[in-house]
Amino acid sequence: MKRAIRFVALMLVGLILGLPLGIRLGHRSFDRGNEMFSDVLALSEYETLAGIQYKESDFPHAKQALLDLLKFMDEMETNNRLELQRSAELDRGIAYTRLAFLEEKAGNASESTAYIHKAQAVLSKRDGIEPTEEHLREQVTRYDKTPTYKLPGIFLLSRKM
Amino acid sequence: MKKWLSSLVAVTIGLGIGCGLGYFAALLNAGTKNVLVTSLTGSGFQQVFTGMGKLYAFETLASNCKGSSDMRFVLGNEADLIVRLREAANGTALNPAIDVAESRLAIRNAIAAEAVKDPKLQSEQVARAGKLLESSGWTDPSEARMRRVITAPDQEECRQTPRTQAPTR
Repeated sequence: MKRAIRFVALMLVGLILGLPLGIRLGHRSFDRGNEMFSDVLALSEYETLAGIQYKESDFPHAKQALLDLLKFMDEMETNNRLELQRSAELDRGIAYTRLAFLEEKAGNASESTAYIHKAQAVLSKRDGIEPTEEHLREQVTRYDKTPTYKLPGIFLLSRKM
Repeated sequence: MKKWLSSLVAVTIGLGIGCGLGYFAALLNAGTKNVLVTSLTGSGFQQVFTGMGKLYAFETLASNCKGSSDMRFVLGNEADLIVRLREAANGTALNPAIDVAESRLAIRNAIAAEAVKDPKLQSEQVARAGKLLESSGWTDPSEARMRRVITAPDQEECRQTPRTQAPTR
């Protein structure tokens, strides 16, 4: 009887020691993946709606949609939600380039140049190399011709999920 | 020696059970933080964030790649979500294109009405979508245009879905 009580007591000690260990292991395994999953879903939808507006609406609405998408990304960052920093930075760079295209079409050359500079700054922070304006224009023009509304960073992540 | 061994076995069993329980608790905890599970609560941004995640999920279901989605359930829930998302966005500096999401839903409803041969509901939904698209600054706010806009992401979604069938319309 005494031996059984001792056995159960030792098991309880093990259980108490194991519980926080398991919780810690579990958090390490699931939390990041779960947060990333949520981030991809939310950003995918936001990008889709902004992408639809960019491709289908007039200048003021398209511009507003892209600026709003950038604001959403900023908010994600301030709320520590941006687990997918590199993918989001790529999309941010493309959003700035699209804004540059819109401003250019509207005849606002200086605003267009400013957005190109912003795109270059974001992408050089991401890749360590500043893309040339020509390269940026070529890549984004090519991407704009695809039927996808999501931006490529999140698009690629969502395909992996 | 025997006593020492039985003590070790007891602690190891306890440690295993504790670890397992802790791991499971962490899994449950992580699940409750998922946008698909949580409700629209918290700060304005958090609500918009969660709402957008859920909207993506409903749109994935609405693309109906396997032809097995209960469309009435999906579209009904998406409509409720859009109302709550609009309310949530009002309390923030964000201005997501909710009118576009609503018109996309209206066209999906029109497609569903067409399938059950309800021309009245179909034309109501098409008119609603047109109004929303006009206010969203669309250069072509026609039903045909929105159908094409819906088709592209649906096909993309279906390409990613295993054992895909063509979306049911």
